[in-house]
Parts: sequence; structure tokens; C-alpha cells
Amino acid sequence: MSGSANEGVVVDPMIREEDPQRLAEFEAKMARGDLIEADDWMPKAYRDAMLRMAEHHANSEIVGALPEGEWITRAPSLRRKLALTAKVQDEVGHGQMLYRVSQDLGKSRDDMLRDLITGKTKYHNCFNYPVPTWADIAMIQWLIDGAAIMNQKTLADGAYGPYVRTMKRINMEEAFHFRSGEDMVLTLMSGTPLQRGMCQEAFDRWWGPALMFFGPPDKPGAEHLPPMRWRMKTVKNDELRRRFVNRFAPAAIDLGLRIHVVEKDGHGSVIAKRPDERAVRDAATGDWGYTEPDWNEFFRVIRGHGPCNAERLALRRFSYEQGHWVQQAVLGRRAGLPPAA
Amino acid sequence: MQTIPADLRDDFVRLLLSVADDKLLLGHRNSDWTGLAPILEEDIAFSALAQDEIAHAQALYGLAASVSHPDARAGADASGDAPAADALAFGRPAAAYLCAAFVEADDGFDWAVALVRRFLCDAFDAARLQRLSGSGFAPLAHLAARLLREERSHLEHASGWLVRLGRGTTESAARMQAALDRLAPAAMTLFEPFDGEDRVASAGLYPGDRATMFRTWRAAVEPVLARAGLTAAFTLDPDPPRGGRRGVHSPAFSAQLDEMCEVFRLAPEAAW
Amino acid sequence: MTMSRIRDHFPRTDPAAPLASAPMGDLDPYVVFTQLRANGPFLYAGWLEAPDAEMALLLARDHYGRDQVCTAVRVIHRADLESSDGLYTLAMPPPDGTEWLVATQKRPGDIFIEMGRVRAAGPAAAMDAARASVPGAATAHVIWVIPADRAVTTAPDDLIWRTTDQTYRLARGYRRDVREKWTRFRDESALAEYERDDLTEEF
Repeated sequence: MSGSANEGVVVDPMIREEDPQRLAEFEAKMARGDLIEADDWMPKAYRDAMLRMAEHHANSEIVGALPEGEWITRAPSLRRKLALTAKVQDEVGHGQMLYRVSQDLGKSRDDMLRDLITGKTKYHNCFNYPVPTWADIAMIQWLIDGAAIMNQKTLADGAYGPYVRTMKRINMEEAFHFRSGEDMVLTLMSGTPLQRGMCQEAFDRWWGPALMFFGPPDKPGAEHLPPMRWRMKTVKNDELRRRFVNRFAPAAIDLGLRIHVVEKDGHGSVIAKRPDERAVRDAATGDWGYTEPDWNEFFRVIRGHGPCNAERLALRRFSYEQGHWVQQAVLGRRAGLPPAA
Repeated sequence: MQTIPADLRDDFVRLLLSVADDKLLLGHRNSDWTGLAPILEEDIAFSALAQDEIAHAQALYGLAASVSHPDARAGADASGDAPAADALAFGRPAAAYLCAAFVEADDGFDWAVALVRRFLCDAFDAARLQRLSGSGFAPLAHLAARLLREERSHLEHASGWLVRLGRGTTESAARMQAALDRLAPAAMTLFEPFDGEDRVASAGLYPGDRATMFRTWRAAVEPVLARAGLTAAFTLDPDPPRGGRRGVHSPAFSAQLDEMCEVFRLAPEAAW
Repeated sequence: MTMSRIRDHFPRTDPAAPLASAPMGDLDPYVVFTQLRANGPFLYAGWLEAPDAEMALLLARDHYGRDQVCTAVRVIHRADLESSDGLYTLAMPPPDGTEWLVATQKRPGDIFIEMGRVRAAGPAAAMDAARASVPGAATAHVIWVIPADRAVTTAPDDLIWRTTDQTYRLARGYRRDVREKWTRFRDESALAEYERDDLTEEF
């Protein structure tokens, strides 16, 4: 699941201190659509921003494994249990691959894990919401993984070779996540009144975070700012959101789900909802409308005050501290093992 | 043999369930580590092994369902009848599960315990699948031979870690030894016979005997422990108390089952 | 509603407390190649970290070897790679006349594919020999050469792809069911349009 989109990549004015000739060559490469490899010359600001982006994405993968992981022990059939385990396992795998991309940009994995659990670095906002029922699992895999694929597909058109290769491999696996989510949503909406009710409630919880997934509305002139000029991002947040809504709003409605504007309490529970009257297709543009999600809530969660921020970090920290002795025991062991007895 | 004689059917189904239940509960316990296990690479691999266990259980439940209801469906393999396999996995009362106490116990969030249990179980399962691959019931013999290849790769994986951590740091050696000390006596519950074990054994459906399997298991386990610098003594109780293999489980097992079946029980007849 | 036992009952530490352990650094990196069909080429799959080559191979089998049907897995320690662009440098050159594996990246952004083997004295000579004799190497964007005896590969009878039904972890394992279920909610033409979108979005 992607985490990079809503980080808000900032490139500082250090660019001005770079060798103008090399910078010009770099910008020309970017303009031509060439790919950059780890050993190519790049402005320090680009290297730093790429590291932050890949690290944030890696963090998001391994924190993203936690909310869904809560339901592995309760999955309602053997196939779903296998699929959910494999799905969460894939997220860990994606995290591992993205940490490698980040390591090659100059930071150790151990340092990245430590910075994550001590709150020095961030991960994607949407993992700070609770997952109270099995239907939330279906909804995350359908909406959030669907959004992630739409986002990551555009990231795979980016300029940084190692990240692009990783995105392509990740997208191949995400297709399973999305398809399994779609199958679960279809199954629940074809099921008993209880199952359909669970599904609607989960949809109410996740529609907002899915809209937020692509990040806040773009700044004016975003296409000229470094993240897009340097093809770290290739499509604007609002354009991705438009594509997402055009696909998922009509699908949800056809399934019998109702799109609501909701109000949540501090625990992420829905306390009030009303139909979203904007969720209709504009005959002129062909686009589906939507009510903007609560961006104040978005920034509150980013600052660490979401319903599950503390819980997620505590569990990640437990995992790191619990497993520390294992890595410690095998560090620097390449020389080999004692011979067989 | 392509069909099970009616007078042996219940015993034979108990055999299949005892294997499948062990695998389901071990896979269930281990899958819970996904996203939390030490070192990302091992987290991924440990989860892969947990998935194998659950997939093995699924295949065995499918076979058990087809043996219990021979008229229901001819296909005696893997995902042939998923609802029937799910009904066995999630729809029985605690006393109908025939897993050993060893696989159902809490690992106390201690990865040394999770790993050592995995190792001892893998060795046991390899020995048991070896035995089952000689079964006179051809569908079981074929399935067991297939699963045995995977079980051996599990054992290789667990052994790899056991040796490295047993010979790692002072701390890792101490943790591994402590886990082994805690688990070694409980591992013997794997060998508790289920009701009718002797009958299916002498009918050639489960060729061999308990004592031989115990020796095979020790021969697999002890050299690895020696390489790892770990020590344990194993003694087979000739007349073990009634335990998991005969449906006698701890209260903690019922709680575990309640968790595992929580969603399934909301609508047992529904598709999920 | 309770979580699983690990997740509900793990011992918590004060989040404000500093980490009890000192930073420890990373395990050694290995690059992983997978072979997707018998006698086919080995393709770059990704990297992983491991205590040693033997564990690297076991861990690679259970990660990269399970992403798709796969007949063999190969791991190479990063210090055993020499890269034509200077990114990786061989730590210990092998004896003269060693056999080298040659992997090439055709264009920037492509994956590395093992294209052949050469015999040469030293990495520079191996690189030249590769350009002279390995298909595509002369025009490749980057070449990797690896002393062949340092690559660690699964044995022919090692089990990588599993024998049990693995469709639960593949998108194609759901397509038929998903389509069948959609027909309860959408007519054929709406469904066909939706599926065209699927392809555009690579779902």
C-alpha cells in the first residue's frame, strides 16, 4: 500500500548551491524523461527528498501491515485466512524492498526503523484509523489498495530507477490485494442483511480516508515545483482523486452502498452521517462529484492525534524491541557457522 | 485402497483431523506474527510457512470431508469442497478438535518459543507425513508425499535459525535454551495417540507405530540441537494422560477457538 | 471485540522513553535472481538482508520465490558484484581464469537479466569479455559481472513454488468469482466498461 502521496514532498532551496552546469544537465535529463540511477549525479536536495519519499513509503508498508494483521486470527474461512496472511506478508515485503531503495540513498534500515518508532519520521495517515470489523478488511483492500494502485501506477512512471523498478514489482502484487478486496465486498453485499450492514458501516468509515489517500488539494503551480518537475510525482493529487471517485463512486452505488458524509469521534467511530448529495455524475463533464473530506482531521492525524497513532507505534516498537536480540545474534556472521557436530 | 471400510471410517477421519488440526492451530498461531516477527526477511518467511500449514490443513480437511461423506463429492483433494473444509476448521465444538496441547499453547510473544515450537513441530510433521505417505489409502498417500516436500523445507528453515541463534550471542543462546526447556516436555503431547490409532495402523492406513515415529523424530531433532549447542531430554510416556488428541483441551483453547471462529459464527451458513 | 493475543496483550513501553537498545546496523545485503521456467534466464527480483548466504537463499525462496511460479532462486552477496557503472565493486577478486556470470541492464530502469558466462582474469577483463561475447552486453546500459562460484543457487530438486493451491495469493485466483458476482449487480455492458478500466489501472 502506498504511503508516499500525502507526505507533501518539500525540496529546500539548497538547489541554488549546486554546480549550475551539473544541475542544468540533471534538469535536462528530467525534461527528456530519462531515468536516474543510484550512482548518477543528482542534486543533494533531490537525493534527500527521494530518501524521505522512499523511507516514508517503506514506513507506511510496515505500519500498514498492522491494522489488517489484527484480523488474521479471526478470518472467517481458510481461504480468507490464507489470503489475508499473504496480503499482510506482501506489505512487509514491500517495506523490505523500499527500505533497500532508501538504504542505497544513504540511511541504514536500523536507523529508519528506530526513527519510525520514536516518531521522528512519519507513515501514511490512513493507517491511524481503527479496523473494528471484518468488513473493514474488505473495504481497506478494495478502496485503499485500489487507491494505492492508482497512485503507485503513476509513481512507476517516475524518474528514479530503483524506486520505479520497486513500484512495478509492488503493483504486480497489489493487483491480488485489490482483487481479493473486491471479491470480499461483492461477497458481503451479496450476503445476509447483517453482512450488508457491516459492509455499509465499513464503507462509511473508509470512504473519507480513501479520498484523503491522495493527499491534500494541490498547491497552485504544483507541476512546476520540484516534486513534479523532477518526476517524483507524475500526477497531481486532485487528478488522482478525480479518477478514483469516477471509478469507485458508481461501483459502490451499483453494489447498493450509499455514499455518506460522516462525522467521527476521536476514536474514529462514525457518530453522525447524511447522504452525500454531491455524489452524482455531472452530465457535462462525466465526472462524479464528492464532498471534500475533513482536511482539518487529516492534518490533526498527521500531527499524531489520530485514533490509532499511539497504538500503531507502540506495536511497531514492541516488534522492534522484541526482535532486537535476533538480529544482534546474527550481525556480522558472514564468516560462517561452526561445523556440524 | 480407494475407499475406507465403514468400520474404520471414524478412526480414519480422526487420523486426518489430528493432522489437520495440528497444522491449522500451528499455522493460526504463527500467522499472527505476520508483520511483527524479527527481521523483515524472516517475518516474510515465517509467514510463508504459516500459510503452508493452513494450506496443508485445508487439503486434509477436504480429504476428511470426502471420506466422511463419500457420496457428497468425488474429488478427494485440496480445495475441492471449500465449505466442507471450512465447516471442519471453524464449525466444531472444542472437544471435537484433535490437536495436541503443544500447538495450541500461547507462545507468550516470545519469538524464541515460536521458533523452537516450529522446529519441533516441523520435525514431528515430517516424520508423520513420511508415515502417512505409506498409507494404504492412495489419496492420502499421494497428498502426504506432496506435503512432505514442503515440510522438509520448513525443517530446513527452522534448523537454520536454531543453529545460528543457538550459536549466536550469549543472550540468544540463553533465550533459545530457555525456550527449549519450556517446550521439550510439552512436545511429547504431539505423540499422544488418538482413539483408534492402533486400528488404522494395523489396517495399513497409518503404517508404523508410535515408538518408531518417536525414534525417527529424535533422530531428526537431536543432531540439529547438538549443532546449535542446545540440550534437551525427551521421554515418551507409554501411557500418556488424555489430552488434545482425544478432545481434552485447556480452557485457554476454547478462548482461542472463540477468537478464531468469531466472524465465522456470525453467520455460519453464509459465504464470507 | 478483542484483538489477537499478541496484538491485544503485548507488553507496552512508555512511548516517551528512549529505546533501550543501541543502534546495531544492518545485516549483509544480497541481490536475488529468480528463474521463472526451467532453463530460462535468471531475472533480477530484488534485494534482501541475511546473516549469510545459506540463510539468504532460504529467505529468498520464501519471499521472491513465492511471488510467482518459479523454478530456481539465486543469491549473490553485494560484495561479489562488480558493476560497469562503478556502483558496486568486487571486494575480493577471484583467481585468474575464473568463470563469471554476466547480467545486463539494457536501458536505465530495466531489470538486470543474466545473459551468459565468460572466463577472464579479473573483473575488468570479464567486463571486456562480456562485451565481446555475451548477447546485448556491448550496448547494455550497465553490466554486472559475478564470480560464478560465489553465486548460491537452489538445487534442482529444491521445492520453491508450493504444491498446494496458491491461487489465494494471486489476482487471477479471484477474477472468475469477481466477474460472476458482479453480474448480480451490473449488466454485461456496464461490466465490460468497468473491466476496460481494470486494464487501464492495472488492477
